[in-house]
Amino acid sequence: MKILRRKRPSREDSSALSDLAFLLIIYFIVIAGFNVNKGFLMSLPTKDSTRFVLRDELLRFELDASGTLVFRGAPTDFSLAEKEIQKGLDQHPNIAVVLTVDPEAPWQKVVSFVELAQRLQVDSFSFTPAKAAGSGL
Amino acid sequence: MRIRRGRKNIVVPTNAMSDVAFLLLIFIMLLALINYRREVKIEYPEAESAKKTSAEKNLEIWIDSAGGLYLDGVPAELGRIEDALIDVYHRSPDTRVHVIADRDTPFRHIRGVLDILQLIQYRVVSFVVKDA
Repeated sequence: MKILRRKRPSREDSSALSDLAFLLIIYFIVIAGFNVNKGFLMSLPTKDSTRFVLRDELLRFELDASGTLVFRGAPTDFSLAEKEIQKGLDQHPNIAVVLTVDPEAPWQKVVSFVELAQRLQVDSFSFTPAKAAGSGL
Repeated sequence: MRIRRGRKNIVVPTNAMSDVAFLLLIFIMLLALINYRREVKIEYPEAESAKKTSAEKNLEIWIDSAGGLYLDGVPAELGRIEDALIDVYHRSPDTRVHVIADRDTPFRHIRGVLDILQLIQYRVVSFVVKDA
């Protein structure tokens, strides 16, 4: 006589496997963020490009060797510069902002100004080294 | 007549799990070595509104606070960087160039690199920062 028996599904201990998968997912998520650069994209003009700008549509800032921002001959800070640029943009949406940078000025200050210009969506922004003629970026 | 049969307990050996984990670890470590990115010890400039600028192909020019230049993490002279940029520009013009300079680097050191990029008409350049 053949006796039929119901087969019981075997229980496999797979708890460790889910832990492992979870840890691997976390690892890959963390690793994926390592090689990503964050920053600002800048469009460089050609070397000999020249653009004519009306005097009223030009805001000129300077960065001195210590990294102090200078506007119309007087030291200023980034919040005041932001207000000036915003005011200029309200009056002339196509306003050009030029930053003249002392060769000894720290890079952080240049980057901060680039950030400011990008945040205010200044279309025509360039920076140029002090004491150099017509080679703006 | 009832026949008693001995129940067989099915046991899945989990001892091998640690071996699997170990092998996976080795695999991941090897994979990390392939994607190894040489870094130069610098203090990144900070910004609040930085966006992701990495592209599919990237070339990194590092400039430390003393003005030392590195191409993809390897020390290089300005001439060597120029050659590499021209080469990359011809082979794959869509390569994104990243300028990664120390926050205290004087602008004149970065200017040299930007001049080359401008000269060979490399249009879009990324200034790399870290989130403030």
